[in-house]
Amino acid sequence: MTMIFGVPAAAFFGQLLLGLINGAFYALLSLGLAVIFGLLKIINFAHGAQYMLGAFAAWLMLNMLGINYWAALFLAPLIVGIIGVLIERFLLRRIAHVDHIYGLLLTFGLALIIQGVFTNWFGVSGSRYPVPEALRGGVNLGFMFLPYYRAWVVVIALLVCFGVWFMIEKTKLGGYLRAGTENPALMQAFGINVPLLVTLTYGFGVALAAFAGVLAAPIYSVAPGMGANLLIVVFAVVVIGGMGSIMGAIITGLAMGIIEGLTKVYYPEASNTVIFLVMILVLLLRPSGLFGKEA
Amino acid sequence: MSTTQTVKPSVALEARQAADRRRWMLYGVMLAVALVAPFVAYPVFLMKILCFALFACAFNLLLGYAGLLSFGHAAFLATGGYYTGYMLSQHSLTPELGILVGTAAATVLGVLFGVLSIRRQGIYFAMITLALAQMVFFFYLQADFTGGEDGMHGIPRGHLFGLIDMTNNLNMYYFVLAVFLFGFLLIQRTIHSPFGQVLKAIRENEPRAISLGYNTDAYKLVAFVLSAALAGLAGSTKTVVFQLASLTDAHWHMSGEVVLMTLVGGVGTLFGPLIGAAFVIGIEHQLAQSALGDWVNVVLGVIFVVCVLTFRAGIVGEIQKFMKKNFR
Amino acid sequence: MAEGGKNWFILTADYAFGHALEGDVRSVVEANGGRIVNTVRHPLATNDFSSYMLQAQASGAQVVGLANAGADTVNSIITAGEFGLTQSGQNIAALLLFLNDVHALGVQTAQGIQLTTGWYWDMDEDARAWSDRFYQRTNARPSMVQAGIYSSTMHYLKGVQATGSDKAADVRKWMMDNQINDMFAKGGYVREDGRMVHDMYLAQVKTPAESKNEWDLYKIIRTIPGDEAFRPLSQSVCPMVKK
Repeated sequence: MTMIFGVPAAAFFGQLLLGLINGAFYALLSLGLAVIFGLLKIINFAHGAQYMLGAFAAWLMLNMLGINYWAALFLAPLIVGIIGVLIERFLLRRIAHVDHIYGLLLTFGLALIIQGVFTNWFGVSGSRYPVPEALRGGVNLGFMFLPYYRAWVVVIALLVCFGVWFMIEKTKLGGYLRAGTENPALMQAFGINVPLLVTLTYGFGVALAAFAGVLAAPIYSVAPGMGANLLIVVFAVVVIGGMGSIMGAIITGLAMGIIEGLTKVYYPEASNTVIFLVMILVLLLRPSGLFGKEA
Repeated sequence: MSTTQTVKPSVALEARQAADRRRWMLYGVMLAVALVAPFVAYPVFLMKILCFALFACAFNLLLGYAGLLSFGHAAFLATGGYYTGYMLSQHSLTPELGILVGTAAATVLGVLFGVLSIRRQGIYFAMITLALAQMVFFFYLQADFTGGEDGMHGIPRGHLFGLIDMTNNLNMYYFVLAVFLFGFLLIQRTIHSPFGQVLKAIRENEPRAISLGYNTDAYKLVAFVLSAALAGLAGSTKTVVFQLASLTDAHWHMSGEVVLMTLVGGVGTLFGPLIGAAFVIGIEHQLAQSALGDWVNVVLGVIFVVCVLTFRAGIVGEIQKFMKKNFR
Repeated sequence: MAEGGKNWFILTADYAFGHALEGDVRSVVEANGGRIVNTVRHPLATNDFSSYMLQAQASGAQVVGLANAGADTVNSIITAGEFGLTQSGQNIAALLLFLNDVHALGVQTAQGIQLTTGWYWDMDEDARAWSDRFYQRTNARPSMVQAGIYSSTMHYLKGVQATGSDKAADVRKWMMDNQINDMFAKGGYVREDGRMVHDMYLAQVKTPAESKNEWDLYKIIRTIPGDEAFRPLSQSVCPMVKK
C-alpha cells in the first residue's frame, strides 16, 4: 500500500474528500458573512443562529407540515431570508449611521435571543433529520465509502458558492452591489435605491446561512447550539482570508476544511484548534489576511 | 468629544474646582455605602458584583478609552481564576500570592493576545480576540490541572498574609473591596494621565495620532495588557471568593456578558461598568429565582438589543447627557 | 464487554471523563484476551465524526468502542450508520448510552449497538410497574439515570426515617448497613468508598422487526454481576477506604 506521511494513501484521499465537504460549509458561511460585510460593513454575529434557524425550519416543516427535504432546501432559506430582511429593515437600519461595532453588538444580542428561545423550546440535545430517500446509501470509491448525501452536499455547496461569485463579479446586479460597496452616496445619486439594496443583501446573506443549515440538518443533529461554535471557527476563516474578496472567502473556507480534516488523521487532539493556529500564523506573517485589502 | 471653551480662564478654573469637589463628595458617599453594604446585603452577592465590576472596568479601559472591542476577555478572567485556584489548592499559597500568580498568568496571556490582535482593527479585532479566546477555552477543557468539564471545587480561601482568616465573609468582603478600589483607582489614574489622553486621541483618529509621531501600536498594546491583567485580577479574586474555577468563565458567553455590562452601564464612563455589572448580576440573580430562570440568555439578548437601539450611552452616559443638558 | 470481538478500535472524547472510560475498557478488553488496535481521541463536542468513522473502518477492528457521552455518542452513531459500519461487519459498543439517546436515534439507526446499562425499564416486574407510573406522568420511559436517582433518593429517605436523624454520618451508616432491594436493584449495597454495587447488564438495541413499540428498545444479552462490573475496592483511589 502506498503511504503518505505514514498514512495509507487510500485513507489520505478519503480524509481529503471529507475535509472538502466540511470546508464547503465554511465556504458557504464565510461567503454569506463577506457579502453582508461588503455592503453593510458589519459582522453578522447572528449568522450562526440563522444557520441553526435554517436547519430547524427544515425540521419543523418536515415534522409539522410534511414538507420534504427538496422543498425545504428552497423554502427554509426563503423564510429565514425574509426574517433577515425584517431584521435589517427594523433594527439594523436604525443604527446604520453609528459606529459599525454597534451592528456587531446588536446581532450578538439577536443571536442570544434566537438561540435561547430555541433551547427553551427544544432542549439542548437536538433532533434527527432523516437523509432524503433519494440520497440514502453510498458508493464504494475503492479508497473510501462515500455516502451519496455527502457527495450531494459538496457538489451543491460548490455550485452555490460559484454561482454567487459569478453573480457578484459578472452580472449587472452584482455590479450595483460592488459599486454600493465602494461608494453608496454616489450610487444613490445615480438613482439607485441603496437602502433597498442593503436590505436585500442582508436578506440574501442570511438566506445563504439558512441554506447551509438545511444542508447540514441530515448530517449533524439539529440542535439550538449547532451554529454558535461553528461561527467562531468561521470568524477565524474570515480573518485568515480577509473579507475583501468573494473568491477569497470561498477558497479559504475549502482550504480550512481540508486542513482540519487532515489534522483529524495526524493529530486529532488538535483538530478543533488547528484553524485558530493557522489564523495566528497568518496574522504574524500577513496581517491583512491572505486575500485582504485593508491593513 | 471636547467642545471649545469660550469662558474666561478664572471662571473655567472655578467651575472645574467645583466639579472636582462634587466628584470627591460623590466618591466619599460611594465609599461609605460600600463600607456599610455588607451589613445590609448578603456579602457574597456584593463580592460577586465587585469582582464583575472590576472585570467590566478592565474591559471598559480597552473599549471606552482605546476604542478596541475585545470579544475574548473571558480568557483572562478564566486564566486568573484557574492559576489562582491551582496555586491555592495544590501549593497551599496564601490568597494574596495566589492572586498575584493568577494575575501574572493573565498578563502574560494578555501580551500574547495583544501582539496578535492589534495587527487588525475594528471588527477584525473583535473576531481575532474571540477566536483566540476559543482556543484558550479548548485548552482549559483538555488540560489536566483545570479539572476539565468539572472545574476546580473546594479551593481553600486560606489566610490573608497567613494571618487574616478569609473564611469569614466580612474579612473577605473588605479584601475584595480593597482589590476593587486598587483596580478602579489604577484605571482612573491611567485615563487621566498623558498616556490616557494619547489613547483617546488614537480612538478618535488613529492616522492623526500616528502623524503626530506616536507609536500607536505600542500604546494599544500597553492598554490591552493592562486590561488583561486587571481582568485576570478580577478572575483571581472571584476564585478565592467562590472557591471554584470553572469553564463557564472561559466560555465566549462570558466575553459577551462583560460587553453587555459595560454597554448597559455606559461605555467610556468611569462608573458605567460598575453600575452595569450590578445591573446585570442583579437581573441574573432575580431571574434565577423566578419562573423565568431558563430564559436568562433571552433576557440578556433583549437587553443587548434594546440598549443598542435606544440608549447607546448606557445608564451613566445617559444621566451625564441629561445633567449636561439641564444643569449647566 | 468481552462480547462481540477481539480487536477493538476506541474513539475517546478527549477530556478526563473520556480518558477514564477508555482506561476501563482497555483493562477489560485486555483482561479478556482482546486487543486494542487503535485509539483516537476527538475533541469534546466535535460536530463531524466522519473522519473518525473512516479511520475506524480502515482499522479493520471488529468492535468500535465509543468512549464518549451525550451528543458526541449520538453523533458518532449517526455517522457510523451513514458510513455503513455495521453493514461492513463491525460492531459498535457504546460505553455510555442512555435510553433517551437510543430513543432519539431510533431503532433504524441504532439497531445492533451493544451497550452496558445499570437498569432497563422492561427488565423485570418491579421495573415495569414503576416505569408505568413514570410513563403516566411524563409520557416517556425512564432511563437508568432517572431510575437510579429515584432509587438512591428513596434509600436515603428510608435511612432518614429509620434512624430518625438527618446527620450525614448516621444516615450513611444506615445506608451502608442495609441492602437495596427495589425497582432498581436486587441485593445492591453501598461500599466503603460510597460506590453502590449492583448488577449491570449487557444490552443490544433491537432491530426494527423486533421492536414492538417506540420504547421497546433493548434486549438484555447478559447480566454482569455487581462485583465484576465495578472497579474492585482494592483498586479504589478513594481516601475513605482504609487500606
